Amino acid sequence: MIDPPPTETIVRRILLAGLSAEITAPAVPFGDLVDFPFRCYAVPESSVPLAFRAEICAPLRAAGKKRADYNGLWGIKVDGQRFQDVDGAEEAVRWGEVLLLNRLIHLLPDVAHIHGGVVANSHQSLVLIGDSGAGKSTLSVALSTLGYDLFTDDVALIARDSLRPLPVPRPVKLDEIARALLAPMGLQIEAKDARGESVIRSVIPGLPPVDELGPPVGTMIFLAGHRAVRPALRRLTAAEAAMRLVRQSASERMSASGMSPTAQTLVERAICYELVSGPLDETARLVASLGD
Amino acid sequence: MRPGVRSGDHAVAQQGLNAADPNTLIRDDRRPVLQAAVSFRVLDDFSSVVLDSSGGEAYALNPVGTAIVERCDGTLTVDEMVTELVDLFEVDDRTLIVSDVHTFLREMTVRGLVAW
Repeated sequence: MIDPPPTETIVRRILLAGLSAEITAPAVPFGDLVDFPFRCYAVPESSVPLAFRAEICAPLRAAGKKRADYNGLWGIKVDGQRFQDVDGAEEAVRWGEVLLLNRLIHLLPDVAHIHGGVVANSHQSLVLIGDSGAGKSTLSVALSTLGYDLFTDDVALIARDSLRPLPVPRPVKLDEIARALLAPMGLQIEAKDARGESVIRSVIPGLPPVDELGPPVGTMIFLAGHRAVRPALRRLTAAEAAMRLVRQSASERMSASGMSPTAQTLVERAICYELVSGPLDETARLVASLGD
Repeated sequence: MRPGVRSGDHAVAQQGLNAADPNTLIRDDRRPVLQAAVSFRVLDDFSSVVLDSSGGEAYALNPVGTAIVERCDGTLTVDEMVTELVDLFEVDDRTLIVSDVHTFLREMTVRGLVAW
């Protein structure tokens, strides 16, 4: 028996700083897959015009061309133009969400984009910056269990004029080790809430309203590449912080004239530290105390 | 605090090294000046960022390094620079500042950031 060809589509939108984009995909097998990464994005009012539309296209098996192949080469289109092909349905959804976010970010000239996490209490935001694997996501989520709002664990978007962060409620990347470290802090993540290393955002505490900016950045923490028995903080000069910041920012690179005005403002207004991480609970409490 | 320079990358760009021996260039009566391709920005806490656009390297300076580079404008001799820094940092031992300035200028010269 041959499955019927996929005809129904599932549509999801995201809203970021007043811009929206839409992704469509075959409802089968994408219903659950697409819901997973988009569960915490806002559903914009219909009056918000679409900046662009992305489409995930299922491959058809060569024989018969009537059934979508879950493991085949899936295509992603943007505004009807072929963008790229990816291997497998899950990769297609992951790329689709990344594509939507990256394209929207490029349409936001008044927003600085930094590879880092952002958490906030009622009066200031803390930016956590470090190389991939340094522990930004784990520490960001740990801070969310200590009463901080988690604006993002990976894609920090900061309004240039106010230095206030935008919430980016995408799934959080937490591998098995990270989840085991977070469990003693009261965050038990069930298998159904994770897909690979991505954890659905709705099961992690500290989700701020998706349409509100956080308080201005007051502290920036640069995670060192090494760890120690006990966590330790070292105050950085603005210049040391600037060097680390520009290395981890997609939008604030050094140009021939030096650092960007936004990078300079951030390192001058915020108190900047280098953090050598220790045990997660101790490290989180130390960082949390900086927001007092 | 000794003048400090931190490279933006772990590896220092070798193409930026001066061929001449910096020890023969650094004299108390000479006037160092930043290379044309070098930009320099002082931040609120008197640390600073030096960018060498020819080699693509950036460096973070501490406030003492900042004070030295601020004076690398081609008008001050090394000796005059030392005198100003002794006053600025209220140091009793001039030889300490002389040593620090020479060491720092040597490093800046080796990295191709300062001309003589």
